[in-house]
Amino acid sequence: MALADYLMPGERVAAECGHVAVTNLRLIHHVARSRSPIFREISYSVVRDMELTQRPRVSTIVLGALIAVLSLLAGLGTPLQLATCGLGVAAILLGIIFGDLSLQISMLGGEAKRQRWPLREAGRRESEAMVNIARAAMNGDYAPTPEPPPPPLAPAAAPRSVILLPADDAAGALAALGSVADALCMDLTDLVHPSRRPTARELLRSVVAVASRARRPTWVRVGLVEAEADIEAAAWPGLAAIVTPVESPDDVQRLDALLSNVERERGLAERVRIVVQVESAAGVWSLGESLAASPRATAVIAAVHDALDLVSRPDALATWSTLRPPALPETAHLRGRIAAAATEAGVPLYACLAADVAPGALDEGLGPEAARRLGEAAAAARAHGYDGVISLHPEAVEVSNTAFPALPPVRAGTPTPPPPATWQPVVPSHFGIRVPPREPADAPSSGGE
Amino acid sequence: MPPVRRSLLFTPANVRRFVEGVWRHSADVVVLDLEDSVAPEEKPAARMAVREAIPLVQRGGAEAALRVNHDAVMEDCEAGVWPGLCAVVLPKAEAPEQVRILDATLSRLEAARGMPDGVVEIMPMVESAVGVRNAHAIASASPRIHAFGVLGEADLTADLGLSFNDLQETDVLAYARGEVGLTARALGKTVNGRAWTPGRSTIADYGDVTALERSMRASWEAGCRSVFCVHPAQVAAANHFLRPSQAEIVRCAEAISAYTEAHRKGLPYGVRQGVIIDAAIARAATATIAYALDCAAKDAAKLLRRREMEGALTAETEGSPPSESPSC
Repeated sequence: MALADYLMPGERVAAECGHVAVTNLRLIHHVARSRSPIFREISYSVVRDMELTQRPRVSTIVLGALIAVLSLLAGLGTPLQLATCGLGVAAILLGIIFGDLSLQISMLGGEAKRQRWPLREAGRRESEAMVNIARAAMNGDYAPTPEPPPPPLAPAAAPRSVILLPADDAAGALAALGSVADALCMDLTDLVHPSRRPTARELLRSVVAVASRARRPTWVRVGLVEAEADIEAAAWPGLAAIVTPVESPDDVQRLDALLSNVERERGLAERVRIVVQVESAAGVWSLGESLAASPRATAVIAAVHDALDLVSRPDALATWSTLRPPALPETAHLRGRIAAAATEAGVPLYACLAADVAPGALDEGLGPEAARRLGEAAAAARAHGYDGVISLHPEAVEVSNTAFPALPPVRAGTPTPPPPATWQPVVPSHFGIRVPPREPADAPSSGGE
Repeated sequence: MPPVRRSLLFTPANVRRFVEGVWRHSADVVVLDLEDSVAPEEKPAARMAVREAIPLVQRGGAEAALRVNHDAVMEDCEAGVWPGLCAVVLPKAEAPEQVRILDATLSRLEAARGMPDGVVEIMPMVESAVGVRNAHAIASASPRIHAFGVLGEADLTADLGLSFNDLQETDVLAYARGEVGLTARALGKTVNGRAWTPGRSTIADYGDVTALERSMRASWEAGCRSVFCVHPAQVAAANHFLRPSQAEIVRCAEAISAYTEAHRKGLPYGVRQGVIIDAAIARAATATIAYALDCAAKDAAKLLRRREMEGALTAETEGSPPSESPSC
């Protein structure tokens, strides 16, 4: 365990010298041993004062004395013996003058309470500097240097059409690169049989690299339960975002931490975004907070039709399909909430188009009608405030590019909350009415007291 | 699995005739009312009658619940929380504190009257704008709340300055309905509100059978599992429509087999009539079938109790000594 791992969140090392570290919170003495280093710590709240003390270095003095005595025993005959004796005396003097430095810490609660930590292999000047910093930190004068700024978010433009593919389908991914989809979303969850997931994870790295070379943003849909393994497999250079069904802000924070870890380990130059997928009542309820939980959260996929816990019927997908957006009045309230949260956070909102229809079944079931119905659904989605579409079906992606002519805006970071609105009476100008300027609040009122 | 409570029939606690006859209506729950269906001067007598009424209304296999007055919660609970009671309906819930106070009162009474701890549920009714605004706080105020989402539509329209009659044309309460329903789902509670349908379909209307049926169907489709009824005529419709239909059970079974087969073949999802059946849908289908079985079990149990009661009553009227019949 290194010192860095021992530090608490928000703790910074201000100075370090001779195995003693001074942080903004406490003093830490660490002895590095091969297997288990020893840490001792003293919080500033119990420290009264600290000072440098110097003690003769016993080992040097004993060695010098031994040399001197041995040379004396041999008799001071030759110049060599004289020199040896002189060396011994010099060692004794050196041991006395340049002794071991140690940090003596006296603590609150009685004279007896003090600790002495040896400062090994430390120079006097740097030790003094460290003690000065420690005194400043003790008085709260030490301001920790801010953490280095995180790498920038991946600058990928938000796509308007995303094609969803099973992550174990490399051929499909190559075909999708030749399609008109603005982005690819490789799914590691529902579209991949559990037994195929390890294979899918192995494939991801090369798929992400190829798509990145083709300048096509790649998203990867990961499950919340297996988020760690999925993110390990997906976070490679070129990954634009992960897509995850999210139920609460805690989920987003957990994903953020997992991504940060992987990015640090692999030295990724750009931060991966999080696309929040809403598919449960709890997810709808806390969407606003979830989006505010991390600057990475930069888009929403509303899978309202997939909100199984909102409806009782297992074939609900057929009724709730986004092929017929305003199907049930109950969904209007949900859509309103989702759209409001996304708009407030300034992130694009994607609709799942025909997400419940099996690949190939669109043509089979609707025939030439399919393109028209999909076009209507995409137009309806746009009218309902969506910014783009995600779908399993290439034909749905094609119509979406027509229905959504412009690319949605990209969220740069955590949005700043709007300033509190100051209410002003609104009077149409053509009425020719002039609104009198407001009187200051503390002006005396015209009426009697 | 939540208990099967499709129909909750209000019965004024002070009208002996109703209390004695209500078992014949086969409601899943009989709610002894101390609130709006009891005149103010009758309330003391109604409180006195609750303890005796609980076993009487349970004779047809129904559970017994109690609706208290929001401004006399203590008195009403004191008089009405006795062994056998499954829930207290709290009308005009506006703030989580109301629920917490009721929770504490119930805990005290349960301990004093030898009832298992936490056996009495709380069912809040939202009937005002403040209640809608505080819906999440109210529903999460007590672990005794297992079902949420019912609106007091008449009071709520009045509080919002709307006309109750307008509910026939448009759902003027759409926002409130969506908000309490979403709250219930987000907190993992059963929804006991009602979906809106055009026509005379509110809780106060029971004359129009078609409208009643449409309302119950819509409620089931919107995920509602129980509704409050003010008239026995509504009970049969609720019991019949607030459960998976035969066609739905067949669809569920097909969905489960489609998914299981696909899973065995190593495919990620099954397909039924062009629709993807994934693990989540298969799970929901399984839950639906389990709920259908629960409903059937409840109906069978109620039928059995009804037969027993009818037999006992016939024997009584024929003059044989009422040796085995339950005391009434």
